[in-house]
Amino acid sequence: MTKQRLVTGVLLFTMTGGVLLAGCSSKSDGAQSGTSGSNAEPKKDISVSIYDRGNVSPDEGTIENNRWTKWMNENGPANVKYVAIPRAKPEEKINVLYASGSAPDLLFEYSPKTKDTLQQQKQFMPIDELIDKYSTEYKKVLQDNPALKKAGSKSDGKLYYFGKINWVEPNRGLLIRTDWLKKLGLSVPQTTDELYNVLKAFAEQDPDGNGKKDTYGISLSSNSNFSLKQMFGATSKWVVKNNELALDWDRQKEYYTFAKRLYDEGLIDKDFTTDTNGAKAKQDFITGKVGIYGFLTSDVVTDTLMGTIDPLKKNVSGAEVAFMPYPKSPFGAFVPTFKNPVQMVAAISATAKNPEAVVKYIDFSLKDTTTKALDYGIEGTHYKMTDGCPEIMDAGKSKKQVADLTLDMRMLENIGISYNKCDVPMVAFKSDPRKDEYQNTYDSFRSTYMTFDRGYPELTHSEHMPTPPKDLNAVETNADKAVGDIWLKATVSGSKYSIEQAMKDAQDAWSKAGGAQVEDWYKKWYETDRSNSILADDIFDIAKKQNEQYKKIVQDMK
Amino acid sequence: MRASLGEKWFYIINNIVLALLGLTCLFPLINTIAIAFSDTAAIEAGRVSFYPIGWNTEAFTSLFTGTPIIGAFRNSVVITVIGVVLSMAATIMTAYPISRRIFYGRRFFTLAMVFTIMFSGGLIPTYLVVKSLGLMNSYFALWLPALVSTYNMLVMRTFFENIPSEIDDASRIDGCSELAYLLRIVLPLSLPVIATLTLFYGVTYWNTFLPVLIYIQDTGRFNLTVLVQNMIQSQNLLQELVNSGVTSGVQANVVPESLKAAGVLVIVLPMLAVYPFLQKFFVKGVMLGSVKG
Amino acid sequence: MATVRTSGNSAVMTEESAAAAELQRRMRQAARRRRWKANIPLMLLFIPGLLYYVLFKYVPMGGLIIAFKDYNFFDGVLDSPWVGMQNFETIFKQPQTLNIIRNTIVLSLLNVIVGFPFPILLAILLNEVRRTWYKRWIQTIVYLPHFFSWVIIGGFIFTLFATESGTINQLLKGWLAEPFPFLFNPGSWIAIYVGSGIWKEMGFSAIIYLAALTSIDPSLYESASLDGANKLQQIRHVTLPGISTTIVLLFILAMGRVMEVGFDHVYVLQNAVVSNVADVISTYMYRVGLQGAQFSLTTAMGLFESIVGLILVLSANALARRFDRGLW
Repeated sequence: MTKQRLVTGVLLFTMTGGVLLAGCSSKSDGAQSGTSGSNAEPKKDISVSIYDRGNVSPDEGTIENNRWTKWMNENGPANVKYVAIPRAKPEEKINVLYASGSAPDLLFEYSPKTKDTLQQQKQFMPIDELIDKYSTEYKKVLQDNPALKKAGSKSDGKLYYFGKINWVEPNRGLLIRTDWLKKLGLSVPQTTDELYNVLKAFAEQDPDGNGKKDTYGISLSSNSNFSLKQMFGATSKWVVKNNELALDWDRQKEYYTFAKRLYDEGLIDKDFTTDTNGAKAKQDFITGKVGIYGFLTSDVVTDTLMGTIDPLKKNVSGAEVAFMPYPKSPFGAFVPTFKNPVQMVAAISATAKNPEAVVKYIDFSLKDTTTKALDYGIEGTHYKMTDGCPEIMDAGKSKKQVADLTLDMRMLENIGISYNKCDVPMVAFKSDPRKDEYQNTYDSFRSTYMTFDRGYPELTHSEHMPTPPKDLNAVETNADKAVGDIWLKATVSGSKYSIEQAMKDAQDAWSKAGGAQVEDWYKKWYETDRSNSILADDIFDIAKKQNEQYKKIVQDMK
Repeated sequence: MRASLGEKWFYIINNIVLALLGLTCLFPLINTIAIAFSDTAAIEAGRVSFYPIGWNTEAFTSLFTGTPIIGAFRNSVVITVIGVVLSMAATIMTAYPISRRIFYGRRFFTLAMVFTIMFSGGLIPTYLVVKSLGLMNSYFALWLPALVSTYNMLVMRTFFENIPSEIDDASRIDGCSELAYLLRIVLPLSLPVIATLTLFYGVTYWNTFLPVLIYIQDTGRFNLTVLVQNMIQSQNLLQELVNSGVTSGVQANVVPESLKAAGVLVIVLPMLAVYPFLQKFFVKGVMLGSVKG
Repeated sequence: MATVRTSGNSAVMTEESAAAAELQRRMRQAARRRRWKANIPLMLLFIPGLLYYVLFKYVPMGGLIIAFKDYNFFDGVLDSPWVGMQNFETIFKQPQTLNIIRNTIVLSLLNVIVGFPFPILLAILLNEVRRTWYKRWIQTIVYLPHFFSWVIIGGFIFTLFATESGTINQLLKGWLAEPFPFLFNPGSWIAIYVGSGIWKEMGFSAIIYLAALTSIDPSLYESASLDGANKLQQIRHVTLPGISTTIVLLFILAMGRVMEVGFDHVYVLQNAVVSNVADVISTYMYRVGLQGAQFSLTTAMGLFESIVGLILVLSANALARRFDRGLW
């Protein structure tokens, strides 16, 4: 009896594969117009994925069943069943759901690799026609921002992903101890050569004045390392030469020579390779052991100011810091990573039975009233309007009853478009006595790094690099690792392993691992497909526009 | 029986060696407790090692009021207790027959089961089987696929086989049936191995992670391990997405180190409590006296 | 069938032997029937386990065919295209593959061979403790590290063995000219890897041996000591033989898991400098397999590991059978 069910199950599952294609085509000509939301139409059932971060208070319910899931169901156009994807190892859950044909109709997922892998296995349905026929809100966003169409389309020319326009800010930066600079009579380094001198002074001239040689210039781990690399434009292995994509070795060589010098002369903590998540680098900075610190942030006020600068000042009296622009390297002056202006976050599964309802759900989630509710809560209970801006009444209550529950429902919000005076730090933190400090930090961050006369350190934002097919992906990952390991070994092996030798070995390893096919594939992509991709110039365009927008907002506020 | 001088030295050195070992093994627990009660700034500055700095019980208050940990704890207990009962019963029922020399196909079955230690279909095929049995979202999806651990079962078989044959012969002379022999003689003599396997299954079910992740849909039915992992991984969200190329529009859900440590403690402390209780069953010389008469 | 013998008593003998043969036959028949009758409750008992193994172990094993296919979600297990040995070719053609397999085997053999005696030793030492309360306490404490994840334990290891600020290097400051890069030197890295694995698991692994030790008749110790055996001799001649069946069992099973170098342990401890000894199958698969959802490749590699494990288990068991201690 159990075997029969098993066979049925397996048969059903394999048949699903065949039915999918048939289902896709029949949906588009069997569609009826249902755009005007007539009350007589019953709500269709859809399933939407949502992340579970284990932070839902028991009095609020669960992440798939709480006041906001009820709110979305009552006020929205569909009966939504929220499918929780545990934040720990989401790929495992997503894989088994798709492998067994029980995927959620609407999948929200940031990682391009996860989405692309599923798309390559035909697990998503194209959304061009669906949007055209059934959408109003998202359709408009799409029309106003063609970058969304570019970024969400795949090589077959069809649109697969829904995305959002982010508010572009720098994502990385460097903090430097200006009090150390003052004490040693140095100025902020403008070139990488000057940077070397500053690092040397930080490590050798006892800038904290405690009589011990226990300080470092910078860390070679995690984000500090990444920023250092970006200065040399060495974070990506590709460069554009003569309008062609080519593999770069010069920048790598220059960077690793620099890094090796830092290591050999003891200007950095030699145990950086064990500091995989950057915790030691941060620890060293906030205890005053390191002079320059590279950070990654999603919010410079909460992460950097409150999370790094405040602890530093508490631990070390007299510490002063400033944001430091990337020093110029032989390859140019660069900006740090910017937030991805066009980010793809959702797709409709090929197994969705009511894709029109899914599209309408997306439209609903983009409506002003919805975003306001999801962001701030219920007026009167969670926030009140002051001077035209929502003001949160009780931070703890808001976090528990609103923010923690709706975080992942807001994944499609176009903050880049809706950013207004209410989002500016001075207004957002209205009741906080330090609000001016927050505003200054934010403005300093923007002005230090959003300098458009410089170059973007990579070809494009890493989310917009194409994903090669499965087997090539494996070759590339292995080749990258082989090369990276060689460079790293050369960095730490002193006189036993020179950079020149390492470069030869790395080039060898790259070709042995099959790097030539990887190069060919990417070269071809750049030649033929790049007009369909978002590249650094596109990012700058959007960033520039938003920068003007920001200036105007701040101006109007004065 | 007086211990000789040599023996006395042996005992002293033995105790010292074990004490040193014990101290090193204790350190992770002490450190985790210290972190759970420390202030975040002190933790990030790397100052916390043996004792809490900046006494702070916020981790526990947010853990118990801001996360579904109490429900998850209950779930973990249910999954563990019922799982252990089911698994022990099934293991005994599997190990006993193949420990009996007269059992038909004994060698074949043993080999077939050992084979499954090395060969496994993998996650997706097992998932498909479980799904087709209609076990989705049920705790039976956690118990049935893990019902018998071949490793544990073989340990039990070895114990059964080690029961002196005189007892076996004596029982046969007394006309004892196989079932009665099992229940009245073998099991009471096997208390140490039963206690051991209860502990092993208990630990496995208590810490089960991936099956809960993929088979249980309602987050309210999650167990401690998945919940705590969700909390820990949410923290790494920003870094992990960065590694896969995503850096923007992502709000990092900052989970303080102390909260993570508190979660780990809730999972580990019950293990600390259970083992001493089971040690009582490690009774020496249970066999003694059972052969007489 | 009685053949005519040229003997005077042939008729009498054949009758007797016929009767004897008939009696033997009846006895054998009766014995068979007894055995059959005794087997019935055993077979009934065995049914749930049998069902379990068939349903949850052998049926999913059918999924191993994806090692020979190019599996994707769309086509599913049955319909994905066959590619024969291509997956294996892809894996073995990669230049690092042989290195990775070698690392896996070296690390896990070290784990097994070096690590195997420690839990036994620990159990024996614990067994010798006179005061029960002390024994119980130490037993419980020593099994704790098993429950902490490698992420946490890895942090402690780094603090201990870091080059510049590590505890060990600080202590050795006076003796060494330069701090020793424990974690970057392949030899010392392997030692730390194996040692930390032993330390973390020995308390938990000792539990089985502790249980086994209880089944040794205490009077054997008494008579051994009366015969003049000291502690060590007693351990050699009473304790070890007493738990020998358990030791052999666990050793054979350990052979079956030789290719399973645990992912977390290596992933946390490895770094780029020692990657040519520290990169193993599981970390390789994580890099390439999981992120690309390369199920066919991972299954193929897993199949290879399983076959190696099988060969080792069969060999170990054959060896054990020579000493009359085979598993089957």
